[in-house]
Amino acid sequence: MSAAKLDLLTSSLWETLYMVAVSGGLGALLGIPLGILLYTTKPGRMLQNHWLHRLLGIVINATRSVPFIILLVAIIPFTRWIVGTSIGTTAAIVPLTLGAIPFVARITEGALNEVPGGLIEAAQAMGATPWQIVRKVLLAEAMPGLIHGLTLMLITLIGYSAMAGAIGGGGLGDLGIRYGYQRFDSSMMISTVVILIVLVQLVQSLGDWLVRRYDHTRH
Amino acid sequence: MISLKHLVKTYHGHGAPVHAVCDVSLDVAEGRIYGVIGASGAGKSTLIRCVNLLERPDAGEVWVNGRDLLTLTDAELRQARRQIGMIFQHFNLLSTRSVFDNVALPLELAGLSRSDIVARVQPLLALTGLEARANHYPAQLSGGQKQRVAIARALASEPKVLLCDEATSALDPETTRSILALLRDINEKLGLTILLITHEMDVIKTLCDEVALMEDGAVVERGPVQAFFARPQSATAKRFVQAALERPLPETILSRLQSAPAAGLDPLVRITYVGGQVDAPVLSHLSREFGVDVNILSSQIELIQHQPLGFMVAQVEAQDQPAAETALAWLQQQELQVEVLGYVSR
Ligand SMILES: Nc1ncnc2c1ncn2[C@@H]1O[C@H](COP(=O)(O)OP(=O)(O)OP(=O)(O)O)[C@@H](O)[C@H]1O
Ligand SMILES: [Mg+2]
Repeated sequence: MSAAKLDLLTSSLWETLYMVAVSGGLGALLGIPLGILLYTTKPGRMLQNHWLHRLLGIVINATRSVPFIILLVAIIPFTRWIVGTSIGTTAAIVPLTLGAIPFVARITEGALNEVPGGLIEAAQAMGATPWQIVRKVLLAEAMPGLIHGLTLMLITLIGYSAMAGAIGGGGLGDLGIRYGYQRFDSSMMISTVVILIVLVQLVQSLGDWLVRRYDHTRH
Repeated sequence: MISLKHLVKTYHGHGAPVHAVCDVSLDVAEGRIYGVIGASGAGKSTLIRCVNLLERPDAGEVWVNGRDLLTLTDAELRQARRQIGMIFQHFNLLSTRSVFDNVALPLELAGLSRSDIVARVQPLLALTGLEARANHYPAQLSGGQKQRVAIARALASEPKVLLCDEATSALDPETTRSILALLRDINEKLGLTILLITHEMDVIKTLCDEVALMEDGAVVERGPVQAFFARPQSATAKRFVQAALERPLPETILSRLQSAPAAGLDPLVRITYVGGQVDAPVLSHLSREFGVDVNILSSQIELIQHQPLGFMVAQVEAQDQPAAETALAWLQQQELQVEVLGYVSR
């Protein structure tokens, strides 16, 4: 493989890592609080608010039901407003983040739902504030499930990022499509696929390792 | 220390409203161990959860440590709850925290420094016999050890009161005994007031000073444990005491038992006696003075609150019916509980 192609592979790898890392980070940063809000506003919980809970649920479901490739194009004005441009790697981060947020919110809600109600009662009986319950009990106990879900999110984002080429985002998936599919360069195609496979494996292994570190329910 | 006044709690579910607690008043003096017993669904859990307002009663007053909790603001209630420890049937330990960190949790919530926390947790681990397990996680512990962790955690904020919601119901008999011994120990060492609920009479018998019996959301009987066992008044209390203490009569006698007296039948009596009366030669006196034979079918002695409580089932064999009745009348006059169970042939 020529040096030029190798360069192309490395720069595309960096583009993918950049898009996935930033959108994953932002997705977690915004999605986890949204998931906590979704959990706590459910009727019977500490911040119960039927309408807010319903509204959040509807918005999240709506966002999640839009195919990513459509989301990518549909929010172009919004992307331009946020990052000043609607094409390029940084521009791709906006729709990727927007795709990640509801995903993370649902994952967070699900992980929190798994925490036994008795633990919350025990904390209430100790005189814990609602925020202490969220931080020290709910999030702490949901951590293995949360890490598991965030791993899933990163892998999904690696998949989504392949579509970023549609708005000039670059990355490995784009490279594979342009060289491998459009120019019949099978060595390029195989290289990108192998790198993507390795990347997904690494993320999954890291996630599994972290889950094992936090999960003390099995020994 | 705890005073519940006219508590009412009704659940409005899908069907008819459930009156889980209706007009219950209860007082627990400082340093006492008070047990609430009752069948499943009697409202015990609802009642004990009202004491730290995990459940808010619809009406009534909840006085703990000199304050009516229902009048407190959220922040004041959180402070008050730190003075009320609670343990649960299913332990409710955090699975992602070690034994040490579980016990430390209430102290972290209260904002203590790490060094203060270590200084508080270590003696509690010693008190509950968990020193060697400090770095274990709940999944690595037996049920009894988990409840010890929960007890240590409940004691961490140095409460005045400990609430126990079926604390031993998930444990085997031997582990139950060791947990009860630990509760007795901390009651004596720390002067802790304990309110517990249970459906096991054994827990009441071995641990409690006072007892209240709940049925359908109301307290139907209450008093010192000794009196509760020796002289149960209500039908439910009698059933609980008999099920807990007495071995049932053999089938051969039960099948012959008649409810009405008749010629050729002898009364079958149950005699309950307390404390010093155990030694009184009542039965030999009965034989001598009234010329009856007392045929003892079963006899047992239980220790309740360190005092002996005896139960005896005997067939009183007299010449004829009037003689039997005179003998029984004398027996009733003694400081004994005498109950005629029925009549059997010889
Ligand atoms: N959150 C709730 N919503 C509706 N009904 C409830 C609720 N909690 C308890 N009840 C009902 O209130 C009654 C009393 O329940 P409670 O749990 O206090 O009984 P208990 O004496 O503790 O029984 P057990 O020994 O089975 O624990 C029951 O009929 C129960 O179904
Ligand atoms: Mg109960």
